Amino acid sequence: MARRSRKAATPSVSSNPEPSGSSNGEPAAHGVGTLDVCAMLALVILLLHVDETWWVRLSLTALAISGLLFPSIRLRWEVWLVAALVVLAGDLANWESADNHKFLIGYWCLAFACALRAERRVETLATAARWMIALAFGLAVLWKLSSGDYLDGSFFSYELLIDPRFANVARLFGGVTPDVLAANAAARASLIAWDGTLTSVALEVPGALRPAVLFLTWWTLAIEVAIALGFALAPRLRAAWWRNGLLLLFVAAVYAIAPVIGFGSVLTAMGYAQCREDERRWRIAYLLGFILLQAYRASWSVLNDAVVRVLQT
Amino acid sequence: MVTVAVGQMGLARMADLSPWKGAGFGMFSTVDGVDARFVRVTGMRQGAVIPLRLPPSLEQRESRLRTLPSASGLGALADRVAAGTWEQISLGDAMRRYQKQRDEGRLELRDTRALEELRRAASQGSRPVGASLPLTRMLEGAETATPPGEVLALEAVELVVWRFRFDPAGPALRAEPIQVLRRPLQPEGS
Repeated sequence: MARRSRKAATPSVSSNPEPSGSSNGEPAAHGVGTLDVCAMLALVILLLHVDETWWVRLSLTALAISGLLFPSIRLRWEVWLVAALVVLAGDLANWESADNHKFLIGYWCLAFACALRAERRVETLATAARWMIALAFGLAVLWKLSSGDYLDGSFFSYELLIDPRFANVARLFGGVTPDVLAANAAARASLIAWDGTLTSVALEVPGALRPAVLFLTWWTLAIEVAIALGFALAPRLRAAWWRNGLLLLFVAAVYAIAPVIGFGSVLTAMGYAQCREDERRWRIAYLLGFILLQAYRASWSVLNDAVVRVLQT
Repeated sequence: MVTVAVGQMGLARMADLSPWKGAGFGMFSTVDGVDARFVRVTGMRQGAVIPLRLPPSLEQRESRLRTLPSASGLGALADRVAAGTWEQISLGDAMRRYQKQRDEGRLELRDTRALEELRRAASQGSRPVGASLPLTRMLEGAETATPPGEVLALEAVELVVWRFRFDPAGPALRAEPIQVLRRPLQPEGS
């Protein structure tokens, strides 16, 4: 009894109780409530960003299209439990290649199933979203702090010198020309060749690389720490701009460089879900971010090259 | 989520799981991703060391070894390598095989890529072409050796999982072995 009283007294991010008579946990604005929007965002993620294994793709595509077409299906907890089990089974079947965000998508489906069974559905989903964002960023920070080759700049040096995803950033801010990139890629290919005997290869490094490496290393760590703290301490820190603004900045900046659009999509979907009732502008911003990410997914390389051309002129 | 992440951290620390994988959110924190690891397989015959290229059917096993190297995984891959029939081929054989597969309509994209690599290497003169080109392939399914290909009678196989790191002092990429397995093979009929 005493425990229940303490819980009730704790301030909450999404403290609006569900009004009676609402079918999906919130008064419907223009016929679509918070839970409906959250469900549709998650269904789009299931449609576009899950494992490519045929049985995962087939079952989740059918489930996602059904859910998008029929509102009664997308708010059934059993549907989300099945989705979670299929996503996580696919991840386990391909554990050697499954990216972290594919597990996060599975966890998000599981959180949805639990929230739909809860008494206060919107609030439960918001709490789950907030903690999942805090944990994902907190764990990423832990890894970076415990990784020697992150803290000494080796990681971003390597990425800028070899990873083609960073080619435009490396060229703009690190002076890594396409020739240098090609030479380094060839050196790496020689090192890992199946019939090779080399145990080390030299890399070409332009002089302007160090400032870019230092900036990327510390900017990434700083924003991840700030986001983890912002979401973990959200009930105490009422400043919405901190957590929401930084998360959107992170998504916009990071996924413009590294096109892991599935990760950005699940972060913006969870960002939308954790917004308080009085944070409508942030909800719209998350929705716009989600839509832009899907557009970005279709033409990442074209847009990326266009941005570089503009910056170079 | 926390339980899985703690397990992932333990596996990364104690069993060399790549921090990028396993749902611990260690991506973009280290060079030590799956692409920074590679497997070299060699066969021994009469004192000579022959590099062996793993066939597509063993790629997933190889990928799992790179993500989470283990003695049991290496042993299982060594079993498959040892049980396979290996053929030593030349550039001419590779082209004949390409033509034969194309005529039979069972050419895979992978084969055309491999052939393009060979042609490019030959045209750039980056490798000696001919008898000294160390090409090997494992026969799969009901395949028979392409004449005049020579079936290799291996005396032992060695599998090594390597990992490279970025050395800022070089600057260079330096590789180190993280799992090694050497397996002598029984001669046929013994």
